[in-house]
Amino acid sequence: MDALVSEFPDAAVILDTSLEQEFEQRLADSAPLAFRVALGVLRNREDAEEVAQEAFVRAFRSFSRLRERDKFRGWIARIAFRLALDRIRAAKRRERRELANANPPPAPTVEDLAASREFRARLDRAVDALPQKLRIVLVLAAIEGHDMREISRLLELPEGTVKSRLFQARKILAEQLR
Amino acid sequence: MSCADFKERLLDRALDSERGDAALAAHLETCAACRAELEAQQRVVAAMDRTLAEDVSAEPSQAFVSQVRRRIEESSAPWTWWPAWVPAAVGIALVALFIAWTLLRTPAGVEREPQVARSSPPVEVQPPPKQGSSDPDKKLALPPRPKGAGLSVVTAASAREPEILIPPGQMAAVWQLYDAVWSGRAKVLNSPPSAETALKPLDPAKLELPPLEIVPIVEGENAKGTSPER
Repeated sequence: MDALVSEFPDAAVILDTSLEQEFEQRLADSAPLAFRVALGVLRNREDAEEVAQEAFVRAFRSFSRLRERDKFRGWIARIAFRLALDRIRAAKRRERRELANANPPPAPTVEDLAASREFRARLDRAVDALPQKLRIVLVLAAIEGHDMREISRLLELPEGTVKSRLFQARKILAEQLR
Repeated sequence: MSCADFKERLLDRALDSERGDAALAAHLETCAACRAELEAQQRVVAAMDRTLAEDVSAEPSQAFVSQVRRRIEESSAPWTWWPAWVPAAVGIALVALFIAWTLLRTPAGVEREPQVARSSPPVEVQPPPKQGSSDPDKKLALPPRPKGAGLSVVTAASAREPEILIPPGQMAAVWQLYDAVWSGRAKVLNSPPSAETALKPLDPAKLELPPLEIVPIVEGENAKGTSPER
């Protein structure tokens, strides 16, 4: 940011320093959240970092228009979630093609499932197939320290709705894993 | 109720152990198979929750924040911080300027409505006194219009403009005169007329002007409708 100022010292630009500082603060505060949301969708560290960084770049462009700054965490979480979904869409299509060509796996026991890669793959597919409104609740709930109230605040939804959606999401996954 | 009736409720119980279901609880007391099924489903749910939590337990790299800053600097222009209303205001101003320019630029052949002297007494030209003149009250008289000439207008150089009152029906002629001056076909002199500086008369056929009645001011006579010397 300082580089911009030094590069354009005479530019007729309204450079709101306090806004810039506030964004820096929000960035430091919300970076883990955005990263974890992206990671929860992408399940790949490098991709999640890239997506979360892109989410902050986009947030920066619109930060001056964000009226309620205390909602920044929910805002950045939703941006990261959507970008991660966009990122995974192509990979998901590839995965579907591969699965269509693969032989169906044998039915394992519950214990085997929990311990195996197959369990992981089935869980991933089930999560990917969740409706977005259920999925973002699931991802946020998986992040340590997020209770119903915190998720409700981030998504601006009633707590009852959050709880209901989380239950629905977990039930769908569990049914897929049985 | 049979075990099949409780199958769906077993999963609900596995997902939420606090869920109150007295009938299911009573059945589990007596059915070992359903208890085993519930435990199996609870293991699946626990593994699911654990896996999901592991997925999002990682921390971003140390370089995360600095990389965000670098990407912002690479992708941002300084105007990024302009308030949202600035581009909109610039756009509105440009549109307003365009409209104003369009309205002021009256197309040829369209007669513009005069802004002054809709109904005025006959034209009276009262130029200021000639500089260096011994008699400040002496008025300048327009030179006689040459025979056959359309119009020749000369104003005196002065700090104030001559007062011209336009008679009704003559505004079209005035506008044509204005156009002629504006387009360079006529010229307004900054000094009293003389044989050298007098304009050549314009071609009346081109101007198509109605005859403009000009009444020279007779010295000593206070012309009606004219203001006193300022």
